[in-house]
Amino acid sequence: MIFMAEVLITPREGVLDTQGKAVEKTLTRLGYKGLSEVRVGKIVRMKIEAAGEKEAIVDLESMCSDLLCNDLVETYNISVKEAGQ
Amino acid sequence: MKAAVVVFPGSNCDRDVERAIRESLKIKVEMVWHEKEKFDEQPDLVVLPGGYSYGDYLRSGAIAARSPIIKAVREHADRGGLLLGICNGFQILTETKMLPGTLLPNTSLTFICRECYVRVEQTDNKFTSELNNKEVLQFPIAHHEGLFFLPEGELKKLEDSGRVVFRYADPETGKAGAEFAPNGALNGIAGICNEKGNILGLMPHPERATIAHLNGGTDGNRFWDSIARTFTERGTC
Repeated sequence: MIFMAEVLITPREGVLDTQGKAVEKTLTRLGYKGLSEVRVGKIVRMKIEAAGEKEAIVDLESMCSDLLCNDLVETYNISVKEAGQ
Repeated sequence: MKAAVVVFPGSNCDRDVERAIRESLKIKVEMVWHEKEKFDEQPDLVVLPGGYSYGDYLRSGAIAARSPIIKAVREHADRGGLLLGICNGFQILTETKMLPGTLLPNTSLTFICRECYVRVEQTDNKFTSELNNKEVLQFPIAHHEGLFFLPEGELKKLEDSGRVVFRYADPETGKAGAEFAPNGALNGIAGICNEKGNILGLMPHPERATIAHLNGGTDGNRFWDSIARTFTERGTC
């Protein structure tokens, strides 16, 4: 089966996110009110072939610990859905 | 004594380091492409140089840390060989987990390239043993991700075990600490070593402070000479 997967990587809570701070400051300067805790992360999107959704997630978790995510300062969230024909 | 400099796609301080080592230590330096799986001759010193390996994609040093040569680099360090990471090389060492922590973007969010002062915080390692404790040296910096970060508990452990080797400092007073870090590095940390003292990572560039008529000064020579003397005393040079 082929799945579309998205890995959302964001800075851990408590880790200084200078990009998030700069974005928050600029949005506030543009007049947007009530903003807090703006965090900037990244998305890694891919097609992945696996026996099932569970197997795809196991592979993606392994990719996160091997390369995609630095668990010291980042956290990740995986979402998977079956690719359409 | 033999030295090797690993070259990654995007390394840009590899030749500066090669020259600094060749002229200070009077030895030939092997330049090793990162796709190789081993060194031609077993080196005593391996350097991971500065630059932008793989364009800093994903995270600084992340992709270089998974290069084929890294297995040989790790084995070299496990045997007690000297392993030095400068700037991007330091970032690569943290990505391999051979050194703790990580380097986050500077608090200013800007690339900082300028003169910089660091204080020698300990001399009980293979790199700074011939320097004076608490002496202040001028090594230039040039980086965008230089904010040394470790969670609080681990940072305390690093400090308590005396593994901070260089700290950003004020040359006038000789004081060192976070307030002198141009990049927001926690506790003003500019360089650290492993427990055995044979792996050192630092953000400033000692290889850029070796030629008098260039603006970087010559304090870097003291650093390279210290490494050279370590080898002379061990009888391997």
